[in-house]
Amino acid sequence: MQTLATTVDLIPDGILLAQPVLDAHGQLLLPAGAPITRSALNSLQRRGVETIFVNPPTEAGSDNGRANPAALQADAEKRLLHLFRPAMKAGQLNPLFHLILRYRSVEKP
Amino acid sequence: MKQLTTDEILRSIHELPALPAVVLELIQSFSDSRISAEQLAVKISHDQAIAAKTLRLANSSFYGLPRQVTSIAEATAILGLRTLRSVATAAGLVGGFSGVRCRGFDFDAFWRHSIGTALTARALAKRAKLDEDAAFTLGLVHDIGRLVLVSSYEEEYAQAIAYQVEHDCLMYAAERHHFGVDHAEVGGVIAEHWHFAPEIVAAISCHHRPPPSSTKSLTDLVHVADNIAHGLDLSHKENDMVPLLALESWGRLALSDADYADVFEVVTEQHEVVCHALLA
Repeated sequence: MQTLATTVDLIPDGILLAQPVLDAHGQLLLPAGAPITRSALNSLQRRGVETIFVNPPTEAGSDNGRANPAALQADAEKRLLHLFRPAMKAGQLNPLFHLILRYRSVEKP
Repeated sequence: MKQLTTDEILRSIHELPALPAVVLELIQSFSDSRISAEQLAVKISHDQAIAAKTLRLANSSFYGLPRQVTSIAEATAILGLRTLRSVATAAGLVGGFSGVRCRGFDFDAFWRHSIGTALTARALAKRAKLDEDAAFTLGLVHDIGRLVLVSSYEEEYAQAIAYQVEHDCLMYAAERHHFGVDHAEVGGVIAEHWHFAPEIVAAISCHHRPPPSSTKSLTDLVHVADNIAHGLDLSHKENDMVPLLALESWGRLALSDADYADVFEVVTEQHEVVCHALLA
């Protein structure tokens, strides 16, 4: 897959790293393939990282590099319904379902 | 189908790939307050592979140390005795058993889930005011019974996996169907045999069915952590599923929605780094 070098400020939430991020001493900060969250970006910026390589946004949850909250929520809900199917079959209300759905759907500040 | 007895489970220990002696000693010592930092450093340093992996994890951004540590003694001084013990346990345990071949069993997914449960248990313990380092180690070993079954009964376990796929049921239900026991019960028997601390043994054997209690425990913690690790999709298994949640355990931990949101954030951020340090 083609990769895109980009500045840390412009990364939308949920995109995947194409190359590992190392600090000035060569210590691994994040491996390739790791999803980028807002807190991870803040942490990288605190460590002086200005540029990272990411996979181009192609998922339904991304639109021109910006997260689409409705599509993100739909994707997250579909996956969570699959993961939580034992609770669904048993008719159990698992409070984690909604907490994780909220976490997965909402763009981090 | 086979109905496993406790004696058969204990006999199967002899067929297990040996856990490094230092790992067993480290887990056994969780309830031993007499062990000194010097003793611990010597034990870890004796196993070069574990020592090297311990330093790799200690130097990863997971611990955010102000400088690189180059010896176990130095890591002990900076991280503290209890944390180093859980780091070294992880270093010695994770990635083991890779020589075992069982059709349908994904070792990488197994360890990704165990590491995720360990990180989640540690993050929950901090907020629930339980022992963070014991929680981390417990998360790593909570499914040890699965490794025992996979190692000792490869063909039967492959059939249990096929049954699970066919019926789309929880793995512990497939195990009970094929062995008459599940990995939690097997893990408890093995952990007791290895002289793990009693609270670790209880938590391993009851992590899918926490018993009634008036106070929160490590069993509640690992039960909820296991649920969260599955819910956050940390194993990357397409057909993974979240086990049923015991609402009594959830209630006993008494954490807020904000606590859980913080836990999700911390675990998601740390998981890849720790997997990379331990599985690379």
